[in-house]
Amino acid sequence: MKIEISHRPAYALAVVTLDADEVVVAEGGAMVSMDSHVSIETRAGKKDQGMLGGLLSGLKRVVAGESFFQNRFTANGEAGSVTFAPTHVGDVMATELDDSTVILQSSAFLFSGPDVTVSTKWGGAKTFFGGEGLIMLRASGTGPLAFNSFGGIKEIDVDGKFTVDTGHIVAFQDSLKFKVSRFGGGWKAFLFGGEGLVCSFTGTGKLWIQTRNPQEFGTTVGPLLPMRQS
Amino acid sequence: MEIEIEAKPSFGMAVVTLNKGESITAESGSMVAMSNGVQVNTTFNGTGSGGFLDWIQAAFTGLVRKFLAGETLFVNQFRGTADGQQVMLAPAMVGDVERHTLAPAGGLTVQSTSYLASTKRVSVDLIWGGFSMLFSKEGAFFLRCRGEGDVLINSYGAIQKVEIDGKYRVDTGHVVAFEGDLRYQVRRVGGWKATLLSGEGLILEFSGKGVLWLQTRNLNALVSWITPVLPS
Repeated sequence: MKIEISHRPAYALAVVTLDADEVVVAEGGAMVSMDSHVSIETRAGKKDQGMLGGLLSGLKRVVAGESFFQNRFTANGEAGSVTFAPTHVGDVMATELDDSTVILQSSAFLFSGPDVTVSTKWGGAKTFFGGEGLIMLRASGTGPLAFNSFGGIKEIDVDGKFTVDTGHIVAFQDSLKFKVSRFGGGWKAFLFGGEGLVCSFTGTGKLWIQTRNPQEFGTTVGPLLPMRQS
Repeated sequence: MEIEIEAKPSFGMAVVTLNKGESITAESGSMVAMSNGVQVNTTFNGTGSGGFLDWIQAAFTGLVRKFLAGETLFVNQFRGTADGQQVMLAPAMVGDVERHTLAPAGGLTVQSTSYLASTKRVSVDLIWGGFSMLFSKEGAFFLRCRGEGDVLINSYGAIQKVEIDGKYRVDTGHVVAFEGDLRYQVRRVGGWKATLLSGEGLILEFSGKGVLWLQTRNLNALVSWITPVLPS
């Protein structure tokens, strides 16, 4: 599988070139275009899971902000290409898993190789207080993994300690440990610094951040829009 | 201090690398990430750092800025405690970030919502843009940055640099910043008919010699465009 990402960072499009009979699994609705000999199969779970297992997998994904169904694209008989894009403006980046695990912010998953398993992960109370989703996604296995963001994505090699505003996290290798803490260490910066809670990562590993925060964007644009009648 | 801007022009973010003792002051809420050891100091968005009276004055200035210029009440100062520490800063809106190094004389006038951060020896003051600016949707105040150092400005849309020599007119909603030597006047775009019907509203007419930075999109225009297409 070859992945090329163009139109970064605002309108990123991933062009995936599959070898003959190779498979790529994507978030529902992410496909933009594909060769005519590429077939699509829509499933909620894995083939051997049965109906109930599939239903459960689908529901778990919905809770994590993803689509109920996922699509498997196969290049039948010969090499072929599929293009993917996220629903909103923003960036796409890909990484390679080698019997390893990457944790994704919910709704950041775009597509992966067939040997990468994406499951939901309870983030614990600490992510709840961080103001973000309670549920994170856990992608593990071997093969490519692509994710999307609001804003540009910047890859950071963490070695030691690094602090990120919770709303700017996209993904991180699970070799990194994280802790939600008060911004600036003291109460004054925490209450008035406008950052609230931040995430402190420790250890060695890759971290991907997004250059915009969807909640801050909403807080800025929201008041300018007319009130909704409910 | 090194400053690099990434993810231009739609999602600009400033990556600031600090040496020991160097600091940068940014609007509250603009920190994206920072390396270990960077010291954070949160203060009122106003000058003064001495006794109680200074504190009162700073608090008052902060309040004035928040309510009159739409700025934040507090600002954060990020200080490096060792060489090579980084802090990353970005605005809330989509758009670009640009760095401007102040000329020894003159300074920079910034549309109040376009200010993101400034380095240690830069003073930032609120200035009255003139009575007619009250009729523009962007507010009647500007920020005046003076001193020695860098200012980070942000925009909605990309930032276009225009070298003015003589006269030049810009829609008030597209002004990001301009050099202090430029004079300006608020004007109607044409006669009353054009002002009311052309969709251009008020313009700033600059004169003199200097650089102007304008943004390629206008926030109020976005709001009027998107409002009718939202579901109710």
